[in-house]
Amino acid sequence: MKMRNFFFIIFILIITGCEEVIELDLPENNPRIIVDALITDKYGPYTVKLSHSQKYSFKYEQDTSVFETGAVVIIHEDSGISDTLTETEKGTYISHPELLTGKTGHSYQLEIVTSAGKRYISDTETMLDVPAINSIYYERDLADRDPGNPNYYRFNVFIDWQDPGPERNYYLRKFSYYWSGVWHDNIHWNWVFNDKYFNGMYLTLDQIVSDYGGTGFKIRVEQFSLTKSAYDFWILIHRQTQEADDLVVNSSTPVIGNIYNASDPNDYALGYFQVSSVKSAEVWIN
Amino acid sequence: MNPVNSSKIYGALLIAALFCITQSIYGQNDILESKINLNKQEYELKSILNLLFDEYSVNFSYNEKDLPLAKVIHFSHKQQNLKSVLDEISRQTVLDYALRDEIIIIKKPLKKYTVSGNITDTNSGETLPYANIVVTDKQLGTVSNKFGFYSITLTEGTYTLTFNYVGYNVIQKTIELTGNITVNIDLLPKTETLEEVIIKPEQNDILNSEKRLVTLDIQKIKEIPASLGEADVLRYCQSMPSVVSVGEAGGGYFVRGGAWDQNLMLLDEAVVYNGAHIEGFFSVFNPDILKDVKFYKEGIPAKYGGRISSIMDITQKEGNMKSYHFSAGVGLIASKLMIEGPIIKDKASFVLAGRRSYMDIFFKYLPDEDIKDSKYYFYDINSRLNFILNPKNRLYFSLYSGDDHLKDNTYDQRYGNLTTTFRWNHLFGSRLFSNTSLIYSDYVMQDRDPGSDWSWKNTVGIDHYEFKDNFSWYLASHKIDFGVDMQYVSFHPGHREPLSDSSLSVNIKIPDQQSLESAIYIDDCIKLTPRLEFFMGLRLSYFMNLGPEDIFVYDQDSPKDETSITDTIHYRNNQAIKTYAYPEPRFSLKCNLSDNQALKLTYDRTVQYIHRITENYMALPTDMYKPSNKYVKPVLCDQVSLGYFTALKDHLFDLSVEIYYKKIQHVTEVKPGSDIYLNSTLDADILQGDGKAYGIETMLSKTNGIFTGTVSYTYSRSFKKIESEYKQENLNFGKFYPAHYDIPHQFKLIAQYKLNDKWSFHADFLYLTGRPVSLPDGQYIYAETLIPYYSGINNHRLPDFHRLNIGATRYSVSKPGRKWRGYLNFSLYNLYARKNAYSIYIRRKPMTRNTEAVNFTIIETIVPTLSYNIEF
Repeated sequence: MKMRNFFFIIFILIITGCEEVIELDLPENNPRIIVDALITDKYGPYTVKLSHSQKYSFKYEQDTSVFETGAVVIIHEDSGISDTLTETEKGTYISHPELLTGKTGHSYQLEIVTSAGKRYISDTETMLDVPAINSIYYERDLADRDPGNPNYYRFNVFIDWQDPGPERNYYLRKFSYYWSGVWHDNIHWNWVFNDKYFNGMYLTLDQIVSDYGGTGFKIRVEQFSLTKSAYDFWILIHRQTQEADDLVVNSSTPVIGNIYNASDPNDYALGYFQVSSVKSAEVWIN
Repeated sequence: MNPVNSSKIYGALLIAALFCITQSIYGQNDILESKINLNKQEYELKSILNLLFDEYSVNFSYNEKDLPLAKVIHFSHKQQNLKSVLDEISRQTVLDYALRDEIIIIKKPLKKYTVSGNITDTNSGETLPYANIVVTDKQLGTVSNKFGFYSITLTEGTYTLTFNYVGYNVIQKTIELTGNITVNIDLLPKTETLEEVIIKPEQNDILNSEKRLVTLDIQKIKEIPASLGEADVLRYCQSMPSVVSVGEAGGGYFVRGGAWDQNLMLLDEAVVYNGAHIEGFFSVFNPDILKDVKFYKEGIPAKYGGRISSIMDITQKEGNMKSYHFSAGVGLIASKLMIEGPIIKDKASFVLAGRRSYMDIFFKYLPDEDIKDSKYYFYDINSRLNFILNPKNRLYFSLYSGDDHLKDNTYDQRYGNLTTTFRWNHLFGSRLFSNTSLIYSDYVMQDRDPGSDWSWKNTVGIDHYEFKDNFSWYLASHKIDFGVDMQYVSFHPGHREPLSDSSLSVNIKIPDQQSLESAIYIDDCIKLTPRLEFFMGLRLSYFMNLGPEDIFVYDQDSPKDETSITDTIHYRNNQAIKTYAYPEPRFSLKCNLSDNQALKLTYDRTVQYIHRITENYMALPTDMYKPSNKYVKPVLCDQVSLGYFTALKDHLFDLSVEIYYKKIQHVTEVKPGSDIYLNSTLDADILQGDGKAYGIETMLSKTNGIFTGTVSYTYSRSFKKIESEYKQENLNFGKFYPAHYDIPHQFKLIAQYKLNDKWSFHADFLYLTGRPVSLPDGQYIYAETLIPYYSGINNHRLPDFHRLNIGATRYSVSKPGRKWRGYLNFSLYNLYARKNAYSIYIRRKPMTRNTEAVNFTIIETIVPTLSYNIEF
C-alpha cells in the first residue's frame, strides 16, 4: 500500500515516528505438524517433508528442525492411482515417478498417518493449467552501476505471456539464479498474484526482476498455477513474511492450509498440499 | 418524600429505585382511604357533600357558584373509600379536587395554556439550544430544543420563569398566564471574568454529571489543545469514559467496545463519512464553528439511527444577527479564519470559516529528496446562512467542504467530504415545532499513479441524499418527538481507469450499490412524578438494497468466493434485492433519589445497515462503505446500562458510575488475506459473527471554580466470535477473541487551573492498557521460508499506553474600548517523551532468511506546540 509511505513521511516530518528492532521471548504454544508438499506436472519424484513447529527463535535453521519420521504418506489421484511414498531421509518422503506424474485436470489428495497414529487428510486439490512463457529477455542499463560493486550493472529481466480469460487465474512465480553450477532459489522475489488487473491480456515487458549483476549467470522464472484456496494460503504467507507490516494491515492470523486431522478439524497441519502445473523459462545474462 | 438513607442507596441501587416508585404511588394521605358507606346509589351533588361532612367529618372548601349542586351523581358501589367517591364526583361533574391540610378543595378545573418562545444571545442573536427553563417554586421545567425553541404548558395563573444557560446571566421573568403567550428571551453572556462565586445549580438541575456525558463543553474543547496544539473535538471527546482510539493517531474512535464504523458523526444533521484529516491526527470539524456538540452512547433518542455505538451530533454556529465579528488562529499545523455577521440585521445572518494546513510549505527545505517534491495539505470550509422569515418560520442552509491532498512523484491522493443541509423550522400554534431537512452529503477518495506504464486513477466514494421531518410536540407532562427519516445512498466501491491511451491498465469498475433506509420514529419523555422520568423511544427502520445490480449466486456447499459463483441474477433499477425491517425500541427510566442523587436505567436497541470495510488497524481514507445486502446482514446491538449520578460537597463535584452490557449480532470482519480493493466478490470476503462488550465507567468532575477537571477510570472489554459452517472461514477456531480495540483499563485525567484573568494552565493524562496484537506461538520452515506460526488471534498485548500533556494559555487583558480578545496557547505534548508502541510485528530481516520483531512508535519525543487565536 502506497498509503504507508505517506504515513511515514508525515510522521517522520512532524514527529519522528520510528521503527525499532526489539528482543522478544515468545513462549511456544499449540505445536503442530508441518507438511511441505508440492506436486506438479513435471516428471517427479515429488517430495513431501514432514516436521514439527518450534519455539519462535527468529532464525532460519533447517538442521534444528524436528522431523516426523516413520509416517505413512500416500498421494491419491482421482484416476484411482495411489502412491505410497518412501522415506529417504529423516522426514523426507519421495514419490515414485514411474507410478505417478501430475496431469492438469486431475485431482489429488494427500494422506498422512503419523508415527503416533494420527491420520491427516488434505482437501482435494485440482491441477489447473498455467499458460506458457512465450519469451524471456533482459536489458542492461550500463549507466546504472551498483554503488557497492563497480563491476555490477543494472539488469532487468522480462517475460511475455498470455493470461487466459475470462476466468480468474491465480499464480505463484518463483525466481532462481544459476551460477557456479548450482541453482539458488531467491525467495525474496517469490510473488503471488492473480489476473485482476490484466485478465485475458497478452503481457509483454512483464518485469521479473530488476537488480545489479555481473555476467555469466543464468536466471530462471517458473510460473505455477494455484487454486483459489492455495492462493489464499500463499497470500497470507506472503504477507507474514515478505510484506510483513503490522502498521496497517492485520494479517498476523493463523494460516490454515488444506490438511486436517481426519477426526478433529481443529487439529490442522501447517503448510499446504499444493498441486500446480508449472511453466518455466531461462535466460543467460552476459 | 422522606429523605433517603444514603447508605441504602450505596447498598442496593435497585431497591432504591423501587422505593422511589412506590413512594410516589402510595404516598397519599390516609383521609382519602377512609371508608364511606352510601345508603343509595344516586345522590345530588349537594346532598352527597353534606353527607360526607355530617357523617364522616370531611371538610370541604368550594365556591357554590362554580358547582352544579343539583346534578345527580351515580355510584356503582355503596361501600367505597373517600377517594373513589371523590373521583366519581370529579368524573361526572368535570370538577377538580385537591386535599390540602385535611380540607378537600373543590373547584372548576383550571384552563391550561402554553408559554413558548425562542431563547437567543443578546449580543449575537444566535439561538441557544438546550437552555434550561425552570418554573420557580415548582418541580417543573423544560429545555429549549436544538433551535432554541421552548414550550411549556401550565394551568392558568402567575408564574416566575427562570431562564438559565451555561455561561450566561440568569434571567427571571414573571408571567400572567391567561392565554397562550410567546415569551422570547435574550440572554446576556457573562463577562469574561473569573467566576469567583460558585453558583449553586437549580434544584432541578442536579444531574450535571449525567448531562456532561451528553453535552461537550465547547469552551474546553477550544482551550485545551488535544492534538498537537490544535483544538479538536474528536480528540477531546476521547477524554470521556469509554471513548478511546488505539495508538497515537487513527481516525477512528471506539465507544464502549464498539468498532469505529459504529459511530455516527452528524454535522448540521448531515452524515460525515470520514471524520479524519491526516489519517486521523485531526478531525474535519473546525473548532471555531462549533455551537453545540451532543454525544450519545446510551439512551439514544429514536430520531437517531443507522449506527449502533454512538452518535455525535454537531451543530454549527448560525452567525451573529447584530454585528460583524472575526476570529483567526495560527497553530503548528494549520491556521484558520472565521467571519460572521448579519445579512439583514435581526433577520438574516451568515458564518464563513476556513482552515488550511501549511506544513507542506516547509517540505522543500528538507534534505530528503522524496519529501522535497511531496505535497500534503488539508483544508476545510464551513458556512451557514440563517434567515428568520417571521416568528413562526426560519430557514437555515449549511455547507461543509473539506479535502486532504497528498502527492509525490509516483502517487497522488485526494479525499474529502461535502455536506449540505437545507432546513426549515416551522411552528404550528405554540406547542408543535417542526424541522424539515433536505440533506446531501458525499465522500470521495481518488488516488492516481500518474507516472508508470500502468498509469491509472481509482475512485471510491459514497453519495447520500436524505429527507427528514421531525416534529416536537410539547404537552403538559410529555414531550413527544416524532418524524420520518429517509436516506438514499449510492455506494461507489471502486473504479480504476487508465490515465492515458498508452497506459497498460484496463478499466475496472465495481458496480455501484444502492440502498434506501427509511424510518418512522417516536420519542416520548414523560414525567411520571416530580422525581421519576420515563423516556420511551421507538424507531421502525426499513432497509432496501436496491438495483440495478448483478448479484452473484454462490455454490451452497463451499465457502463463497469468486470460483464458487454458480449464477448471476440481474436486478432492475430500483428493484428490491433484499429488504430488512427492525423495530428499535429504546427506554430509559430516571429516578431522582434526592436533590443530589439519581439513578438511570436504559435499554437501547440499535441497528446498522451500512458497513465500513477495512482490513486495517486504523481508519484510512481508502476504506469503503458497503450496504447490507443478500449476503451481508445488518449489525444489531442490544445494550443495557445502569447509571448512578450524584453531586457531592454542595454541588462542587459530580460523580457518576455506570455499568453496561452490549450484545452485538452480525459484527463484521474481513477474511484475513483478502484484498478489498476493486473486489467484485467482496461479499464473499466478509465474515459475520457475534460480539459482546461490557464495562464499568466511573467519573468524578468539578465544573465550577478556578480549578476544574475530570478524572475517570473505565474497565471495558470487547470480544468477537466468528464461527462459520466452513472450517476455512472460522476465525480463532470459532471461539471468542478480544477485538483489537479491547482496552480493559482506561484512566483519564483532564484539568484546568485558572490562575487569574491572564493565565490558565491545563494538563491531560491518559493511561490505556496496550491493545491486543497477534504474536507468533512458534515457527516453521515451509517452501524454504521461515514462517511465524500464529495459533490464535490477539493473543498478546502491546505495552501499556500512557502520555501526559501540559500547557498554558495566556489571555489578552480586556480593557475598556478594546474590542479584540486574544489568547496564546503553549503546550508540551508527551511531556516525558514516552515511546508508546503503535504496533509490534514480525518481518523478514533484510537480505537474510531470518526474521525480526519490530516495534513501531509514532511519537517518541516531547512535542512543543504554540498557537494564537484572536477574536474581534
